Amino acid sequence: MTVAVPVPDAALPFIVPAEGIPAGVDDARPHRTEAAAITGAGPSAQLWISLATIAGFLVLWWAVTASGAVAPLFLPSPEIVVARLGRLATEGFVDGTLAQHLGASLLRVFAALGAALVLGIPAGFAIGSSPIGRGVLDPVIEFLRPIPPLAYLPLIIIWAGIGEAAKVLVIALAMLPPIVIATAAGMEGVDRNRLNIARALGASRVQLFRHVVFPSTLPSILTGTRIALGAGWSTLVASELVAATRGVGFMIQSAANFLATDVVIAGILVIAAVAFAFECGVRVIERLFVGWSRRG
Amino acid sequence: MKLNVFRLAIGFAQPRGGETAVLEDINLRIPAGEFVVILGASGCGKSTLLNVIAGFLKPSSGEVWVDDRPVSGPGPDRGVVLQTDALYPWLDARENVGFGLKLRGISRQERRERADEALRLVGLEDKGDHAIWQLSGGQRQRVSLARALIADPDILLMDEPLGALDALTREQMQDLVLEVWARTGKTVLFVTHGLDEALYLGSRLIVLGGQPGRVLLDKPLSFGRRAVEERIGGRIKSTPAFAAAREELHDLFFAGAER
Repeated sequence: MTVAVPVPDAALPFIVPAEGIPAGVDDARPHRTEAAAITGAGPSAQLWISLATIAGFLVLWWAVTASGAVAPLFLPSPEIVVARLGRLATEGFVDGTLAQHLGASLLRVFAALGAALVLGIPAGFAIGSSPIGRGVLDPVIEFLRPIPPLAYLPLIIIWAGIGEAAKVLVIALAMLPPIVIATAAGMEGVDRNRLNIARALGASRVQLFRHVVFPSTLPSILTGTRIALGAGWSTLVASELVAATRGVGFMIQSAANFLATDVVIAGILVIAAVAFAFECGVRVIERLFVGWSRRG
Repeated sequence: MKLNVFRLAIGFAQPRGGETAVLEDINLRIPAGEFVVILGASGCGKSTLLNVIAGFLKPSSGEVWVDDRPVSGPGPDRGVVLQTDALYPWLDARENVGFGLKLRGISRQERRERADEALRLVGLEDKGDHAIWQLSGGQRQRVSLARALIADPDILLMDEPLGALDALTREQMQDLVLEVWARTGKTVLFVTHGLDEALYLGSRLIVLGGQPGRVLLDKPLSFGRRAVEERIGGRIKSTPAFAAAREELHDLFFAGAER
C-alpha cells in the first residue's frame, strides 16, 4: 500500500526521463501549461497522476504474484524483492555486499566521468572556437556518437585488457560525445555582444575566456554532464559483463546465471534509484551554480 | 580627447564573391565633449560606423584616430553601450558595473566602492545586490551605462541604447543620458533612428543615408544643452523651434521618398 504524501511543487522538475532533457527545454514550458489548461490538469495534478501510475504498477505486480498467476521464478513478489534487498545490504551476493557492488560501479562511473570531463570540455571548446578544432574533432565525435558501446567493447578489451581500465574506458567513451557536443554548442551560443563589451572594457583573450565564454557555457556543460551520466550509467552493465568481480551490473549478471530473479529485480531497482539520484544531484548543482540561466 | 575619422569605407564580402559597400567616404572631426547623434534609417550603416569606431570591425579603407593614436581594436578609452544590455547574468548589478575594473586586477574593495559610485550616478544606488533578472529593461540599461562609465572612457559609444525601451522609460533615460553627459563632459556618439531623440540629445547631428551610406547632413544642435541649462528637460520638445527643426528633418527623410 502506498500512502498519499503531499509533494511540494519544487519536486516537480524531478519527474523527468532519466536520460535527461535537451537544452532549451524551458521554452516548452508555456506549451505544457497550455496543454494542461485544455485537459484541465494543472502541474500538481500531473504529479498525482504520476504517483498514482507508480502505485498502480506496484499493485499490479503484487496482484499478479500473490494470485500465483506468474511463477516466482519469473517474477518474485514485491515482498520477496524487498526482503532480498535487505539481505543484499547485509549478507551480500557473490562475494560482496550491495554497498561493495554499488561502490565498485560508482567508482567506475565517476572515474569515467572525470576522464570524459577532462577530455570532453577542452575538445568542445576547441570545436566551438576554431575551424581547425571543428575539422579535426567533429568527425571523431560524430563517428563515436552513434555506435552502441557494446559494439566497441570487444575492441577495447583487445586493446586495454579485461581489467578496470577497459571498463572505465568504455564508459568514458559513451560519456564523451554528449559532453563535447554540449560544450561546443554552448560556446557557439555565447552572445557576441557580451564578448564585444568585455573587449571594449579591455579584456585579453584569456580574460574573455575566463570571465565571459566559460561562465556563459557552463549551463550547457552541466546539461551535457547530466545526459552523459545517463549514458555512462547505462553502459555500466555492459562493461561489467566481462571479467568483473564486483559491480551492480556484475551482480545482476551472476544472479541471472543462478536464476535468482529477485536479485535481478532488486539490482534493476537499485540501478534506477541511482540514476534518479544522479539526475537530482546534477539539478541541484545546476540550481546552485547556474540558477541565473533559468531566469528571463 | 578628439575623435577623427578619415576617408572611411566599409564593405562586407558577399558569399558569391565581391563586396557590398556599406559606408563610403566618411570624414568626421569630433572635438572633445561633443554629443554627436548619428541618425539614419535602418540599414544605412550607422551601427556599422559605431562598430568600426569601437574597434569591433575593421574598415575596408580609411582610418579612425583617437587623439594621436590610430584605432586598431577595442579599448577602454571608448566605452560601449548597446541596444541589448549584454549584461552578465551570473554577476549581480554591482559586479556587472565593476567588471571592467576586475579585468584590470583592481581589488574587490575598491571595485565595490567605485561601482556603487557609478550606480549612484545612474540612480540605482539601492540596486547593487540585485540579480540581473530582477531588474527592469530601463534599469538594465542604466547598469550597462554605469558599466561603460566606470572604466572612465574618454568617448562613450552608444548604439541605439534606448531602442528596446518603452516610450516612458525612454524619455526618462534620455534625460539621464543628457545629465550624465553634462556632468562628466565626455564625448558621446549616440546612434538612433528616432528624430525627436536625435534633436533632443545631440549637440551635433549627423545624418547618414544613401546606398552606400554617406554623411547627408552635419550640423550643430542646442536643444539638449538648453534643456539641461534651463532645467526644462523634455519640455523643450514642445517649443516652436524644436517643432520647426523636427519638420525640417522629417522633410529630409521623407521628401526624397515621395519624389
